[in-house]
Formats: sequence, structure tokens, C-alpha cells
Amino acid sequence: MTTFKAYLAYRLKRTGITTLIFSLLSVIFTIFTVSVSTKSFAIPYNGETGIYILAIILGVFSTLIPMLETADFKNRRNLDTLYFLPMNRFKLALAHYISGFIQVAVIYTVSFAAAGLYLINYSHHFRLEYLPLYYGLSLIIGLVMYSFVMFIFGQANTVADGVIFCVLWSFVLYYSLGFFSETIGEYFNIFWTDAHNVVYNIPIISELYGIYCDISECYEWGIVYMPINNLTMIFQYIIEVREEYFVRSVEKLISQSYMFWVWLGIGIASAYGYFKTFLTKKTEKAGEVSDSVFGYVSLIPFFGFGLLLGTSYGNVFCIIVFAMMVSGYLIYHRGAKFKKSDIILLAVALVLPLFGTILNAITGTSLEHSEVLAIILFFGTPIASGVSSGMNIYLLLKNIKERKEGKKRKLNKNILGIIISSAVLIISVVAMTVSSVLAILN
Amino acid sequence: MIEIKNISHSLGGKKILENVNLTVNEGSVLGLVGINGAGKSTLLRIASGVYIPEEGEVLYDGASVFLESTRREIFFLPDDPYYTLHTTGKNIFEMYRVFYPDMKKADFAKYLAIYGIDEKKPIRNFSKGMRRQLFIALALAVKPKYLLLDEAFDGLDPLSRLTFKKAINEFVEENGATVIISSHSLRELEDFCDCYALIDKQTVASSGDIADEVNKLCKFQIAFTEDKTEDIFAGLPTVKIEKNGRFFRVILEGDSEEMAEKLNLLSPAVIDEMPVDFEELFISEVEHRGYTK
Repeated sequence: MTTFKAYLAYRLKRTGITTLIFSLLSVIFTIFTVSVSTKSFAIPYNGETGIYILAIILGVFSTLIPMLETADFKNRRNLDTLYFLPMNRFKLALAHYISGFIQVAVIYTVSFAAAGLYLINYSHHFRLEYLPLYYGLSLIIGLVMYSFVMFIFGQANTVADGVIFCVLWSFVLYYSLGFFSETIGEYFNIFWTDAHNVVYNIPIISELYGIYCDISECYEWGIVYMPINNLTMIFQYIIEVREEYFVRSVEKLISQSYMFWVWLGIGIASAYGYFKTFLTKKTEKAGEVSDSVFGYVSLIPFFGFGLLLGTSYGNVFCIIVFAMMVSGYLIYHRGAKFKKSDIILLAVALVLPLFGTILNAITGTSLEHSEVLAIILFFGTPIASGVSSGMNIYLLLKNIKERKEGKKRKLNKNILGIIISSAVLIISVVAMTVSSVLAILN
Repeated sequence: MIEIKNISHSLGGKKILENVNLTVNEGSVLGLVGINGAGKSTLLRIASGVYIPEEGEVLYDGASVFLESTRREIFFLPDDPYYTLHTTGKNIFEMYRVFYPDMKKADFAKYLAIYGIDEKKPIRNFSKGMRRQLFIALALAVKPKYLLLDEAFDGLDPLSRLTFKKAINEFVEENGATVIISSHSLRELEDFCDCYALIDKQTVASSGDIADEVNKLCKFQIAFTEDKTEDIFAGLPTVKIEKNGRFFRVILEGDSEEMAEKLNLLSPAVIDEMPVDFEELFISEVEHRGYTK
């Protein structure tokens, strides 16, 4: 047996008991949910399968297992004992990737089989022949989610940062895809969770947990956070013999199947990113501040501005968002060590709500999000390009000075930055002036 | 043969090693010495392939350290090896046997028995010294051609140090292994290392055969009938002078007979030659470089 196969077998043996426990728990939850669902809503429908529990199991373990599988690589002491071993890093990464996904597949398959065996008793009620198709599609999407978490978790240098990145990135991915889906006119795409589902169900979830405390309802709501929510819903329609929806659901499944390839693209890119990171990441960074561009560097501004865009300006919420951004940078830098780029982003985040408040006060009306976005682009572009030009000129002068002092051998390519940002500045100022003149003339 | 060629590496933006070159001959036991933070552990991690150097390469018998075939012949024991809450000696052995299939349980058990360690007990319950002994037993059971040990004596009591030195000596003799061992216990290193490398100011400041280097120095204890100052040795190639009342201990560079003749010209009441050890060589080197006075 080769070292790779032996190590993979060792990993599977080592995680065997954990997989067994997770599988047993999943089967218990599955049987409980399926048994409750099949006995509910007897009239006017024939009953429900309760297969949404399988989507939750897949979502939870596709997120949890990658973290457990690669957490050891965040520990520098462990890397000392792993990276000198006679197996190259690609094979090491591949062994952990395969071992983790086998665990997810086993847990999901066992749960699926338990649900299937239970539902056989109700085969005259349901179209169970569609279950294998649902299993295949959902497992592939599970692999995509798994790869995505593997990649994002791999960007962090500590386990805590990895968990934060995964939680935040799951929102980024599903928000972005949900908005994209809505933008192209598909308000219900079977391969995405709708962005509005995530936002609007937060108060409902808290209400359910606080008042009703009905466990089956509580985790039924949990599915809205799972990326395969809509896919599961469609299959519920197909399998649960609701004649009025059956034909439409099958048509939707076929017409929107192209989005499946987008999922696959994300999966392949994530897997590539995971292996690339594994091979190129410096061992000595383990346990250090997570400075990846896929980490705090991009997440803090994304969430800061994203939340600002999603709220009414002038609201006290803006101050909270701003405070969150500051807190984010404090966590990122492990203290108050703000870089120039952080200060610029924070300044912009502070100016935007002030600007929105002033506009609201002038117009006396509450602005729509699209209007806010347009205003930000209208005024933000010249401001951003102006700042960019200024910074590039400053860096160029600094480089020239350092070159004269003999500290640097060649000049950075700041000239290109100056040309691009200056061009954007000129174009945006001209556009602003022209549109203002036209507005006055009209 | 281990060849460390033009290695440069930074940690957290700070240059730790700059253009390090070192050759360790087949069957040698090299003591890697240097003050805290000199870069000894970083160099060992690079030599074992744990760190990818920014510049340079490490070759074992002419082959890169990053080749699997090369790595099968290397074992690196870091200063603080990793273990989980429930890890036992048995678990550790099982994991390493995946990578070193020729490793024999009997060898591991033999070394554990020397130290009196139970392989079934969780490592977390062991003292630092016992943990060290367990991993040393593992390293020796692997029987690597190249053994890299970081802070090898850390946590070991005097008796365990003796046992460890004996085990390493036997291991080198039986297997013809090449060993690099970093430690601050210079007296221990002197007992079984045949050569050394001093890491200082990001590079190998000096290296060579320990006996040859020690022979380049000589040490004398001298007493005068009258009270004298250290100035009396002006003009001599002194490395270190210690004064205690009318007694002086002087370490000088050069041939001992020649130096004894020169010292006799100072008309001492007593003059005795003393042996110079590796620790004194190291201290005189670092003092010479301005670290302590």
C-alpha cells in the first residue's frame, strides 16, 4: 500500500468513531422528523416526507467536517510533526480532503437511507422514485459546499478566525447569489437560497425559539439558511404527489438546471483554491494574524458597506455598523493598529451615512436602496479615484526618494495607477457636471 | 551528506537567516549552537522541509529535502512535539508507522523500556522530560539515516541525559546516521558531537571540528605575589580574563606552550594550565561578539 493510501486509511480509522456518533445522531433526527411529518397535514394532502431534515444534515456537516478535518493545520506545533513526513503536501491535502468528504457522505447517506426506508411504508403516498435523483444532486452540491468551506477555512491562520470567515463567507456567497438570481429576474431559483429568506426569517426564527419552542418547527425553519433549501422544496413538491405543483416543479427543475453548472464552477474553483493555499501557505503563519485577502481584508469592508447599503441612512443602525467595522479591524489586527487602507475605508463608511442623512434632510423623503447606491456611485467614484490618485502620487514620490537614497532598485508601477485613477476622476467629474447641467436645464 | 546552501529566510518580516551555508558529513554528529533567537530552530525546520526557505536549498546526498524519497530517510524531532488530549505513545507509534513502514514495534518498546514509559498512558499526564523521552524513543525506532533534534536535552534530568547520550552514540555507531542536534547544554553536546556550527547574526558565524577549535584556545590559572590589574595581560591574545583576588583565569588564543612562555615573562607566583571545554569556547565566541560581558 502506498503512503497516501495508508494515511487515508489511517485518517478514516481515526475519525471512525466521530463519524459513527454523527451518523447515529443524524439518523435519530431524520427518523423523528420524517415520522412527525408523515403523520401531519393528513388533509387535504397525503402527508409530507420531512426530507428537509436531510438538507439540514448535509448543510451542517458540509460545514463542520472540513473544519474538524483541517483544524490541526492551524497549529504550528502540529505542522512541525506533519510537514517533515515522507508525503508531499499535495497528497497530505488530498488525503484530508477525501477523508473529510467520505465522512460527510457516510453521515448523509446513512440518514438518507434511514429516511428512504421509513418512507417505503408510505410509498403509495409519495413519488419515491425521485429520491435517488435528489440524493445525487444534493450530494454533489454538498461536495461544493464542503469544498467552499475547505477553501475559506484554509484562508485563516487560527481556528477561531476560520470559523468567523466561514460564517461570514456563507452569507456573502448566498447573499450575492440570491441578489444575482433576483437581478436576472428569477425570484425563486432552485439552486440558491433567496437572499430575502435569510434576512426576513431572522425575526421569525427568534420568535419561534422564544415563544413556540416546538423543536420540529424550529429546525424546519433552519433550512432557510441552507443553500439547498429551494432544491429540497422543489423535490418535496415532486415527491409529495401534489398534482397541482408536480408538473410545474419538474419543468422548473429542468429549466433552471443550468445553474447547477454554476454551483459546479464554484466547487471546482474552491477545491483549486484549497489545494493552492495548502501548497503555498507559509507554515510559519499558523497561529498568526489571518491576513489573507479572502479574510478580514475583504470581509470587513463588504459587511460594513453591505449593511450600510441595506439600511436607511440617518438611522442609529449606521453607528452600530460603523462600530462593528471598527471592532472588526480591532479583532483583525489584535489591537488598535490601523493601516492607511483601514482608515480610508472607515472614513468612507463614516462619510456615507452622514451624506445620506444630509440628502434625506434636504429631500425630506426616505431614499430607496437603489437611489442610495446611485448616489454613492455618483459621488463616491470621484472621491475614491481622487484619493487613489493622491495615494499613488505620494507612493511614487516616496519611491523616487528611496531610489535616490539607494534603498530601492526600481520604481513601483505607480504611474499606471495615477493614469487610471486620474482618468476615472476626470470622467466621473465630467459626467457629474454634465448630468448636473442637464438637470438644471430640465 | 547534508548540504545547506545559501539559505535565507524571514519570519514576520524579520530576517532570521541570511545566506546560510553548512555541510554536515556522513556519520557526523553536529551540535548547532547559538544564543536564544539566533535561528537554530528555524534552520532545523528548513533542513527538515517543514519551512520552505525564501532562498536557497537543502540537499541530502545531493537530493532535495522536498522529495518523498529523501524524506523517508529524515526524522525531525521539534522542541515541543504536538499531541492531543487523548494521544498515547501507542497512537503516536501507529501514526508514524504509516509513514515509516519498516519501523518495528520491538525497537520502540525497547527504548520505552529504557526510560520506563508506559505507551498506553495519555501523553498529557507525562512530565516534560517523559514526553521528551517518548519522542526520542520514537525517533530512534524510526532508524532514520538523518536525525534532526531541536533542543534535545530540554526537560531531561541528568540520568536521562546520560541514557540519551548513550542511546545516540549507539544509534550513530550501529546505523552510521548523521545527526544535527541543537541545544544550550554545551557540556552535553561536547560529549558526543564531533563538529559544531555557531549561528549568529543570521548566519553560520563559525563551524568546524570541536576538538580542533578547542585546541586553538588555551586556559591558565595564574597567581601573583602582588595585587595586579587585568592590564598586565595587555599585548597578549586574550579571549577572556577572570579576576578573583590575586588569582586570574585567562583564556588565550594560540599554542599553549607558546602562551605559557609569554605568561611566565610576567613573573607569576603560580601558573597552571587548565583544559578548555566547548562551553568556554562558545562563551568566549559570543562574548567576543559583544553579547555578554
